[in-house]
Amino acid sequence: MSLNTIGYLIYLPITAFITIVVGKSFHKHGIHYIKSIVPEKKIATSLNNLLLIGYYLVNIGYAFISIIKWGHISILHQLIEEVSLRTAYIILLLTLMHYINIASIALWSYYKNKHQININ
Amino acid sequence: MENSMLTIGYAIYLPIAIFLTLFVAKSLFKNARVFMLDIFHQKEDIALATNKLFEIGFYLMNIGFALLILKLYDGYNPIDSSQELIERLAVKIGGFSIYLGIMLFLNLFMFFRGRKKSKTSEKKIEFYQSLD
Repeated sequence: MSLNTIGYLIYLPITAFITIVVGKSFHKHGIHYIKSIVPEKKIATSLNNLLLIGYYLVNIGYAFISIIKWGHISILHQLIEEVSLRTAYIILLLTLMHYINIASIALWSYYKNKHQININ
Repeated sequence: MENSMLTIGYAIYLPIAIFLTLFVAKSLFKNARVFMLDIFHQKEDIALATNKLFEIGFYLMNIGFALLILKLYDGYNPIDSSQELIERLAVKIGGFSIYLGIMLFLNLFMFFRGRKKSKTSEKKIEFYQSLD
C-alpha cells in the first residue's frame, strides 16, 4: 500500500468526524436563531434540517474533490504535511461558511426588527 | 537523519498547538457566558447557543490555522541538527501563541462592544417607554 493510500485513509475519517460533529452541533444550537426569525415551529424545524443536509453535501463534496489535488507522497514527514494541509483547508472553509452564516442571520434579524419598528 | 528530525518536530508541534487552542477556547468561553447573557438581555437559550457557536468557530479557525502553518521544512535550508529543530519549533510555537493571544483579545473586544450596544439599546427602549 502506497503512502498516498494511507494518507487518504487517515484524511477521510478525520474529515468525516469534523463534518459530523460540527454539523450536529450547529443543528442543535442554530435552532434558537431560526426560531427567532421564523416563529412557526414546524417551518423552523424543517428549515433547520434542510440546512443541515445542504451543509453535509457541500462538505462531503469538497472533501472528495480535494483528493485529486494531493501530491505524490514518498516519505513519512510528507504524509504528515499533506494530511494536515488538506485538513487545514477544509477546516478553514468550514470556518468561513460558519461566520458567513452567523453574519447573515444577524443581518437578517437586524433588518426584520428594523422593519417591525417602522411599521409601529 | 533530516527526515526523522522533521517527523519528531511535527510530533512535538501538533499536540502543543492543539492543546493550546483547546485550553484557550475553554477558558475564554467559560468566562464569555456572562457577557453573552448581558448582550442578549438574560435570554438564556439564545445566549448559550451563541456562546457555543462562537466557541466552535474559534476552535475551527485556530486549529485550521495551526495545521496550515505546520510545514517546518521550506525546501532550502535542511534541518540537520537538534539545535536547528529547536530554533524552528520555538519560532513556530511562539508565533502561533501570539496569534492565539491576538484572537483572544479580538473576541474579548467583540464581547465588550456587544455589551455596550445592548446597554444603549436598553436605555433607548426605556426612554421611548417613558415618553408614552
